[in-house]
Amino acid sequence: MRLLALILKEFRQVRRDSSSILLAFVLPILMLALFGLCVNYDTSVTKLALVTEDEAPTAHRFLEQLQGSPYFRVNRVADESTAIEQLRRGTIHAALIIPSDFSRTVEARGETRLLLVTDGSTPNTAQFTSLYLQSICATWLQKQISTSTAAGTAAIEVVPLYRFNSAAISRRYILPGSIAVVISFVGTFLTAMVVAREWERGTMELLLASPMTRFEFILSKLIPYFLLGLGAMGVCTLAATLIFGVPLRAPVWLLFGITAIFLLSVLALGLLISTLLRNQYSASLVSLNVSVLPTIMLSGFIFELSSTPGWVQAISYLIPARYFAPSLSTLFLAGAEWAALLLNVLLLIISAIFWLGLVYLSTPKRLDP
Amino acid sequence: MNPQSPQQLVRVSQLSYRYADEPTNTADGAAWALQELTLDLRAGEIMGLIGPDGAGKTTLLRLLAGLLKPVEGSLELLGLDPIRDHSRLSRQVGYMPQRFSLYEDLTVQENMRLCARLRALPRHETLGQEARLLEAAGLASFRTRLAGKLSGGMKQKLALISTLLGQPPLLLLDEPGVGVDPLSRRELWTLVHRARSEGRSILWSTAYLDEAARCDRVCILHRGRLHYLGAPDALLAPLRGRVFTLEPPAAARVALLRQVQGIPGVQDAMLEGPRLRILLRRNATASELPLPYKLHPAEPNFEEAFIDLMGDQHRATAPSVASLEAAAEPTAEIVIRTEGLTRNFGSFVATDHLDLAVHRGEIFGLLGANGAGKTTAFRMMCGLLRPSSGKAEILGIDLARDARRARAHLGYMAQQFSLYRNLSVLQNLRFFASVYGLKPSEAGHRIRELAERYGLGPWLHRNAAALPLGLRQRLSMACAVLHDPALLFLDEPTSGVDPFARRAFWQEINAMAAKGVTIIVTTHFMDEAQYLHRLVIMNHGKVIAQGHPEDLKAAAATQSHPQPTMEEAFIHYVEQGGKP
Repeated sequence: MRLLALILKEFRQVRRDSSSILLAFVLPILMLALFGLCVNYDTSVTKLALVTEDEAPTAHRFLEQLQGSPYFRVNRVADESTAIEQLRRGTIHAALIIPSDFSRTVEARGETRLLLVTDGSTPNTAQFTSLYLQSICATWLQKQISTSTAAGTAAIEVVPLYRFNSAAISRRYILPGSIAVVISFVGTFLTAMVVAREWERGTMELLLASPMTRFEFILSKLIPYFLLGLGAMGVCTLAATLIFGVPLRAPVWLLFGITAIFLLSVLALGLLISTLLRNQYSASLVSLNVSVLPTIMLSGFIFELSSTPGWVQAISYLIPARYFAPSLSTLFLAGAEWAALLLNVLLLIISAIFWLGLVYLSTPKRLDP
Repeated sequence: MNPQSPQQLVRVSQLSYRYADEPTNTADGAAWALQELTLDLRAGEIMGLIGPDGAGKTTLLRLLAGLLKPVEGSLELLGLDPIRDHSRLSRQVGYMPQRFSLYEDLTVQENMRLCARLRALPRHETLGQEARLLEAAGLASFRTRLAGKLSGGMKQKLALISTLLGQPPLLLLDEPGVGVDPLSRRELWTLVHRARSEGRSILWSTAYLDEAARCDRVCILHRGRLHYLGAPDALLAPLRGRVFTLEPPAAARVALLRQVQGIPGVQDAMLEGPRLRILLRRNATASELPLPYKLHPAEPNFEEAFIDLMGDQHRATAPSVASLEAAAEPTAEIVIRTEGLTRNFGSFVATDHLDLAVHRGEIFGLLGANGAGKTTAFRMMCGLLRPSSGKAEILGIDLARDARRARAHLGYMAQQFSLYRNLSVLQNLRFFASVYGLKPSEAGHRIRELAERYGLGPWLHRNAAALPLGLRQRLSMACAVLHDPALLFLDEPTSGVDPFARRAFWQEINAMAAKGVTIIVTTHFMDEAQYLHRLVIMNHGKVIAQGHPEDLKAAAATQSHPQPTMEEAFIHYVEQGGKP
């Protein structure tokens, strides 16, 4: 009865204050659009300046192979210094120099030796160019060997198959991770304001003086925003599947079930911030720093966690999105793969209990500690 | 009600409380918010919990509501412990916190229903009560209005009737009268008296000493200690025959005040508009006073009772009054003139054709309820707000043309403490000196002078936040007058300060006026009106009465109120529909 009255009150406040609605339903679309359109690991066409010091037929065949690649736009220049000059001016992404002994090395030892000069100030592009070039070389060399040697050492052609994301479109991998960020952000923000608002407006005193229990108070703050959080997840799922073409291979109930567990953690985190700070401005700043940034940095969907120092990894275990982001990837791209999900779901449950417990302990019964 | 103790609903014994985060090294050792307090509340009485800000009123009410845990001593409500039996008690105690403790984004009705359900009151029981209470508070036609869109008075009425739901035997009301216009305040008291007649007991806290008259018993607190517990009349009784007024010529007023304050038989003296009011010590007689003016006996008020009660030990270190060599009578010279001054906000007319003329050296007041248009008028007179039509002039400068030049001649002291709390007193003074463009040497000289006059010397290197209320107000004042303005605007200057600080403040204001500074005061505290030379009462953007406070009171006299207070006079004018 009392709990119902409190929940009803919360819903009325939400309805009359458009910021919660914007936060739950509009912001997710904006954030997903940003992630979906701006974060992209797929390379576009790389502009390559080519210097050839070898005019033998073998080198020409290699050149043809290179020019046939959709990933490179090859432009021949006279010498190395011209290429470097173009790289310096930024008109090309990389310069490739084919040395005069190229054909000889290929024919004699079945090896290629090339000099690739890339722009170190754009390391991602540099890295991709180098990787693509190596793979082109390997493929081409394989072909050379199989055609030149009659009997031939068995030609092995590697055909990469990207399971779960067959076109290897990075957006499909990024979007489920982005949803984890969006839901972290929305969940934390939804509740980060509500307790602080009660303190700022003096209504907390009214509630504390009433027979309301701490348990009722926390539930009355969780339930309405839990529902809003699920709504935000609905918006994210629709946007990801319909607009960005991410497949959803797991059943919807499972997706929302796991989201629900995750929401408990982030809503509790927001409540904790709000309860401890009692001030909406500080609460919003802290929420931003506690929810979005660590989720992006430490949930492992943009930055590989395995390459970070041990203590950073240790902190990352506190962040519920660390378990949610990989779960979402699995759910969207692979389906209900329990082997991959189980551990993360268990950890999400533990995380929810941990954060909810902290909220319960930090919720005051009186005005003095 | 507990059958074992029909007489005492609340028993407080040797109760002390100190806030954990309060620094213990404040100058007067006032770390205790409450100290060794013993009192009782009887069934069916209204007890006034009266004292200036910082007296410990809110702390006591919070302790009673189970929101704070006593450090020492014990307390009992209806035979129960406020902390151990919190949930049982909170059903039987109506607690109304300070400020507007309502959900501003819920409607009137939603607020009431939430309150009822929080206390787990059965719905069928409260629905009838709700209708009756809304009717009684005059809010019946506002059921669906958002609480945030109500006036201050209506908000407090709503908060009060919400606590009355479920008919709790005990009501704890924390400053219901703050920020409320006199009409609403009277209605609040009517509601409370009705609740008492239905058998409820009420603890009503207030910083207005004059509210003592409406209580059955009063408990006077000052700096955490109990100073008086008993009937309000018994508080005034020992002062009867010791209060006199006299009417010296304007030019002699301030000098006479200083002379009178030096007489050993005088306990208290203050200027009340054109009059000087004197309270004699217990053993002194009027005939001993070496004064060349006729003394008129007067009725004592609760402020004087407070001063008498505290004796000399609590007297604030009063600032030495500014030198009086330049004392002058208010002149005919007009320093502020407004003609048809009007300001609309959309279709709402905040200030409607205001025509005012204020003379040099006058203490001039704009009185009115919240929303009457005082603040709008005041802002247009400072050049902070552009009028929709009409014009305002300061010292002959048209504000529409050269507001910046005019502003250099005025000082402004805001209602709330609006200085930098985390800067020291000296840093605050230096900052404002530079804002007003004082040269460093001039600023240093002026700061030394003001610090000495206002008794800020020992505090110069303390953070402004650490200052007691009375000193904060003096610091605000010092900052406002650093550049020696010809006009001083004061917004509710002495709300909540104790009578000692208030007297010292007005004494300084009077001294400044005597030197030719014009003072403009906006307030909705009627008791500040007594200090004014002349005032206008505003309602719905229009001036509905103006004149000397005494004349306005006299003109409002009726058969039922032959000697109205300023508050009664105000209500009279407003109810007359703005026709004085």
